[in-house]
Amino acid sequence: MGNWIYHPDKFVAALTEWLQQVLGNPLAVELAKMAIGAAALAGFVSVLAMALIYVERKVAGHMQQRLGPMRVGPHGILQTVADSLKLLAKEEITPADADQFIYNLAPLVCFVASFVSLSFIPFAPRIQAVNFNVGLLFLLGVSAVGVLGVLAAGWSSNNKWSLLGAMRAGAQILSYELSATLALLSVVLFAGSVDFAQIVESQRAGWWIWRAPVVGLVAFVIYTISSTAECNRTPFDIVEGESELTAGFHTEYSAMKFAMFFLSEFVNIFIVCAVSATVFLGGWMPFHVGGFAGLNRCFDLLPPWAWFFGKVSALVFVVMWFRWTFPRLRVDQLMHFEWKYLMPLALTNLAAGAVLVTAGLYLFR
Amino acid sequence: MNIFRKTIHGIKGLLSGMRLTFHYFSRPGLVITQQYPENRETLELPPRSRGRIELVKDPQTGHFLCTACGLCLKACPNNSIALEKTRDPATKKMRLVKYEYRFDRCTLCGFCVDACRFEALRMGAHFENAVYDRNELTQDLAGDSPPGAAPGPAAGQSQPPAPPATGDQPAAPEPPKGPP
Repeated sequence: MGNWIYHPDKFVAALTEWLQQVLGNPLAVELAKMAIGAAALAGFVSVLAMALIYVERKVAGHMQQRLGPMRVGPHGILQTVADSLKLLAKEEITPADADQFIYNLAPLVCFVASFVSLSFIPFAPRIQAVNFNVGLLFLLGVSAVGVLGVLAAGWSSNNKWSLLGAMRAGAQILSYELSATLALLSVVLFAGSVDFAQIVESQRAGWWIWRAPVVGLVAFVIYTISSTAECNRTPFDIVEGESELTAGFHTEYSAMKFAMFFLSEFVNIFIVCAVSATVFLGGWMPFHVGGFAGLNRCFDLLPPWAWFFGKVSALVFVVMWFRWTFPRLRVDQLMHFEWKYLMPLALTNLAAGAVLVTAGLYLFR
Repeated sequence: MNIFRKTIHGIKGLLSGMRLTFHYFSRPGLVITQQYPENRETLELPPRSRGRIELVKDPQTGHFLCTACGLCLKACPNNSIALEKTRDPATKKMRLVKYEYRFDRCTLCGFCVDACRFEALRMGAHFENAVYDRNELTQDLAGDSPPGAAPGPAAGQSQPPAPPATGDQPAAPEPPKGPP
């Protein structure tokens, strides 16, 4: 069992062996593995979203000298369970003039986009739902499909606030996608791969945030900013902008369709933080300092998945910290910031990264 | 150069905001939320909270400080205060007989407390005000002072501006703060 904690891939291997014994047929084994993987991810997603919503509310409360949820369960830990049950029991309302088909499809598009993105993330060595040699590229593509769901929701709701929110979402996410991708690309140059497993493997000597001198740090900051914008989080939450647009694109949604948007929003936060942790902070790779074998062995005591979740949690906390501190940007300020400052900076950073890679000027080669 | 100065200024502002929120986040002792029904015994209300008004007693003599001048009554925008008073035959001073307070009309605006010149009135801390009959909301705040002669007058009956009983006060009372 202890072996499985440090090497979850051995658990997967044991599971595969057991399936082979039970089922025999290799095709059936593959199908069973897919089903188990999908079920595990689905379970993970729902638990993750509930946990993140609870944490968000607690963090928000304590940052404002409040307590957050306290009533349901000790310190309110069952609050999101109660909320989910409530949402399950509520009426699904479709506005009379809404475009029924697209209206019902939109939450699914959002949810599927974030669900699929999650399957490329390596949680531990060889623990990855889909091992894909262009994982990073595919993830960027799939996560951009989510904005299609947002646009569809805003359009089909037949409500001017929804439409305005969706238009803002489209403009904002497409703009900030550029900087995010450019920031990730500058690390891809160093790592020499767009496969998540290999990007993590390339950081065995040190994490890219400091191994790529300055460029790594700048790329990390750019990615943090633009990924916050991609998740529609404050200070970039003009998409939902409660004071201006009621709730933006999901104004007309209720019950589980609303919950789907919420779910995908929180899963998206996890995904961008997981990508950031994987690309800049070494993913599941423990913190190692060259030459200090004893220290490194101490860090190895934590299993790789604990390192991964620790890094992701820290990043998620920073994103929440942003949300409960910063005021919202105006639409024009938002576009100004992206097109006039962030994207040129990201491009310059990418060029500098290319020069450094060509010259071989990075640490711990 | 200006852009750099502005950028640094902006980042400083953001960081100081983050420092403040983290300060609150990392110190749960600063939380001001009350877990009300659970901590009903130990509940401490903030000093400026407003409950129903109370008459203040002189800690030495145990008598009410109220001189029955009627300033609170004039300041009240909702007519929720009515006074009944007599002239003390011995000292020729006004004496409070009954202080009728109609809480069902009161908006807890606090004008009466502002208007009082003798600090004889304060906003109390009592906030659990639910009753079964609205008549219970009409109360005599001077209840434990010597009982008056007649039942209280109808609220809203105008009172002549009784000058303050103490001689050293200026004769004309300051105009109370009007309702907004």
